Amino acid sequence: MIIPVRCFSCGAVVADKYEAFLERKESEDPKDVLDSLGVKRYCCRRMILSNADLLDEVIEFDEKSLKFK
Amino acid sequence: MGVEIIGENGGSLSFVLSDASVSLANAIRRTVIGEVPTLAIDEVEFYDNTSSLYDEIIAHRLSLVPIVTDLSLLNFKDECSCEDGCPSCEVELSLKKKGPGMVRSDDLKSSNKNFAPIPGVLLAKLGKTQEIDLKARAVLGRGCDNTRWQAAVMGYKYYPVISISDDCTVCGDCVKACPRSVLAVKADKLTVVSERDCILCRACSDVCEPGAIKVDGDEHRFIYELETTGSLKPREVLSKALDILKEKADELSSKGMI
Ligand SMILES: [Zn+2]
Ligand SMILES: [Zn+2]
Repeated sequence: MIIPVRCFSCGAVVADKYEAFLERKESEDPKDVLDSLGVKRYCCRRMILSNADLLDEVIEFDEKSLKFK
Repeated sequence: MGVEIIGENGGSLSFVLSDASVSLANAIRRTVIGEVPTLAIDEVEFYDNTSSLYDEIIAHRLSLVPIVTDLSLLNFKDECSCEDGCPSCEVELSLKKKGPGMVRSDDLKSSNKNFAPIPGVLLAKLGKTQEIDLKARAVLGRGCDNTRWQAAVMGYKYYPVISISDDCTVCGDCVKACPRSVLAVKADKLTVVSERDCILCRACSDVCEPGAIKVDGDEHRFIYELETTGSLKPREVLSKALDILKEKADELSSKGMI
């Protein structure tokens, strides 16, 4: 849906690094991006790497279904 | 007992604790994670929320945002002299945003500039027709009650002790096996370059044919890594945790329990 604010396992904040990750992963190796963002534990790394951003679709659905009400 | 700081970088701190027992080492870790007070949002009042995320989801996300905390200026709400919340035990924050766009913790306006949320935390996303309008109250709390008050992430390991015996044939297999590049061959001799990076995985001694490498952890020396969530400075977290631990120990000894 949307990136969780903190890592489920350790409690470190990950939501403030997600946008920078998305932008930089296009031109850099994702591994290096995570390292330079200071996301070093694998629990936090999976939070960012395995996130599926579905909110955009939900917003689109919500706004379109509102028109037919 | 001694503490030696070996690395400090903005929100993180690493140090070596020596001549200590495992129980003390773990007590320090648990105090840092669970007892150091920080600010976090505890109550949210929604005036409007037409976003695609439910009130509860937004309230939950808000609660997990670390808020920069000056511990000298705030009391715990239940220890405060007031009846039902006052500026010395509560911080009010408000958020009002119309779409389209991202809602970040920067949009969360604090009533007191000493206590601002850390920037850049993604809270929600709004479509063209959506908006959020809310008020929130943050109070002091402890990590043992809820993760949102957790001040830092902290862990420790035994100090690695790597010994290389004369049976070493300098084949270099261990250098390749080590995931942390702790070993290197220098001037035809196997040497330990950075023992603190060793994670005690023993991949080197597993591949060593003559069994020349021995990796052990020193049970009286610990390497700690502390990373704050952003509400307090790492040194502040550590010294506060040690104060709390000492207070608790004093309380026990005053009751004759230790
Ligand atoms: Zn984590
Ligand atoms: Zn009060």
